[in-house]
Amino acid sequence: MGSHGIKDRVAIVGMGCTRFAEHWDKSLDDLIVDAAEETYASAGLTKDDIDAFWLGTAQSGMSGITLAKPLQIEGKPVTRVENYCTSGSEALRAAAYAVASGAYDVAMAVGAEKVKDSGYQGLNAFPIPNDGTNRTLTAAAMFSMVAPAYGKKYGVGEDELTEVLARISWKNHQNGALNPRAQFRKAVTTETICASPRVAGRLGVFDCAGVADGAAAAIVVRAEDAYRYTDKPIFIKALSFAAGSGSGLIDPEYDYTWFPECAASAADAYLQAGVTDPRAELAMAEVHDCFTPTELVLMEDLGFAERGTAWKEVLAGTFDRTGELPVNPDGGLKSFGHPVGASGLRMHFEAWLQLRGEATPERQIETDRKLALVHNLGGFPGEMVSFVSVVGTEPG
Amino acid sequence: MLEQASPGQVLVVVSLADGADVLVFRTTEALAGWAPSETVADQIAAGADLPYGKFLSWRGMVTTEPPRRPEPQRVSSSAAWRNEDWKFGFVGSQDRTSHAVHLPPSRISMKGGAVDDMDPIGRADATATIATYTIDRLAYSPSPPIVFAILDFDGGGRFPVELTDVDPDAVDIGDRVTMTFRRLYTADGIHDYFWKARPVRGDDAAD
Repeated sequence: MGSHGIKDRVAIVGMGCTRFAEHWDKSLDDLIVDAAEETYASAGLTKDDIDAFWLGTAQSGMSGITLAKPLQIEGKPVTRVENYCTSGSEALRAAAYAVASGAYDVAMAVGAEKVKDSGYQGLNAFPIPNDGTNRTLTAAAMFSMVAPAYGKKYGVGEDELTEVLARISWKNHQNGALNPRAQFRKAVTTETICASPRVAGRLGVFDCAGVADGAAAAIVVRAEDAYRYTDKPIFIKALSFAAGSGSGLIDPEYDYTWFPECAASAADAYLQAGVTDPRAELAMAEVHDCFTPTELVLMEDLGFAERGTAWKEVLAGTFDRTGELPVNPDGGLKSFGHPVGASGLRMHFEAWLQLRGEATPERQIETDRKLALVHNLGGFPGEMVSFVSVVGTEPG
Repeated sequence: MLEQASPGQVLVVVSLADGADVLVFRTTEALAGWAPSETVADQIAAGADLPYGKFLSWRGMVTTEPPRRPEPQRVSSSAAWRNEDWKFGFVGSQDRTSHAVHLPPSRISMKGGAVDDMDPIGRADATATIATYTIDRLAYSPSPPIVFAILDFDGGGRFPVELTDVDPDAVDIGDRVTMTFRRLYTADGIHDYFWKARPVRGDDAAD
């Protein structure tokens, strides 16, 4: 028994990502084709060179046909995976393991979601017949319970906590404003953030991720083959995943100030990658900032700050794009937008650009560090799935 | 009617809708020994003030604009039947070894992992304390906004649940609540009933 990982056995050699936006004029198929074509070109391949495909989508389609039809893939293994908002990361995990096993030489992971066609606000879950006793809250409401619990436990006053959360939103909007692929490309003042209409609890509109349509994709090969496709492959150092049992909802010991699933997947990823001091070793991190309190708590769950101190680090600018450890340099879910199944691969796309020095100059991170972290979660406090990967520019 | 009737009386129930049904009952001596756990009069007295606009919308006389969120799906009758102790009785399960309370009941314990080693535990009459809460201004409800709380029950058990008969601005961590059986929504003409929590009032103290 053990979680051994596949450190340096698989590399990403091509990636693509559409702009995330309210794409009223594009279908799911359009988004998939756009992301796939960019990804093929990035690796110098055509679809005929790819041996197996995985599609992560939460509820934009069922089965591998959702991918095979628009891409005209005939007679190859195409699988759809779903794991809440981590569906895109699951597609990457499956493709990477398939290549690592030796089953295929070249595999592709696609994440795609067409959220806006529903006409609803926010995200919603596919209805499954039930006994009528399930809660019907929005994700915003579930995550809104984190902020007051955190403030109370660590003695952060209400006004101070509001400033901290606004600082996170401000930072992610600053980053998104520089990113041509982001949904929201406007910097926003903290005054505007704090004055936005309340959605749930104390969370306002600017505390919530953008809801967007989009797609992103990656091509993976065995590490020893990587330089045949690109001079700058990105090596997979860790792929970790943890699902909670849902006990947080009914266990009086859970206090809403941390996400045990995220802490567990981070610890496992660091073991796989051999990372002992993430704050000093990582060049950047993309984390699942579905709501501002989520990013705050994640800074502690991922080991970037000691318990109870992340709020001070946020105010000190530690996680700014020019700070000690840039977090969500592409704008994050907040500003880049959150097409559920696409987000996990979008996060890897930012790591791909930044580590290869291919972000546009005004937003390129200046660092000598060679590793990036991606954190992607699904569900809500008490009932959550969490994915953490570490990727890097150098094998070994 | 039974609360006000005495033994040996004739009671007539008339239901007038698309047709008419008339049911005739005669009370027996057993009625003298019967008392409801909570009388209708008590239930009415424990309610909160109801704004006239909300009353009209609940009666279907005024149509309110729904949020741009999915409306609830109709309840599955077989699932509701299978889980009737939970759904209608608010009965969970308690691990015989760790004493962890599971709401809804679970076959495998979240503490220690014991399998099929639980006793039923009713929480319908238990009082509880609000551990934390939120107000959801977006989710669908016949009575928006949804005031939602994480409850810790006296004697064990935690459950996240909607509050009712409550002023959203007056809710606080540490407030005491008790359970009440309510209609959550109606979909495809089928009412869905389950439990909500409401603030403990003075006359609940004996509970």
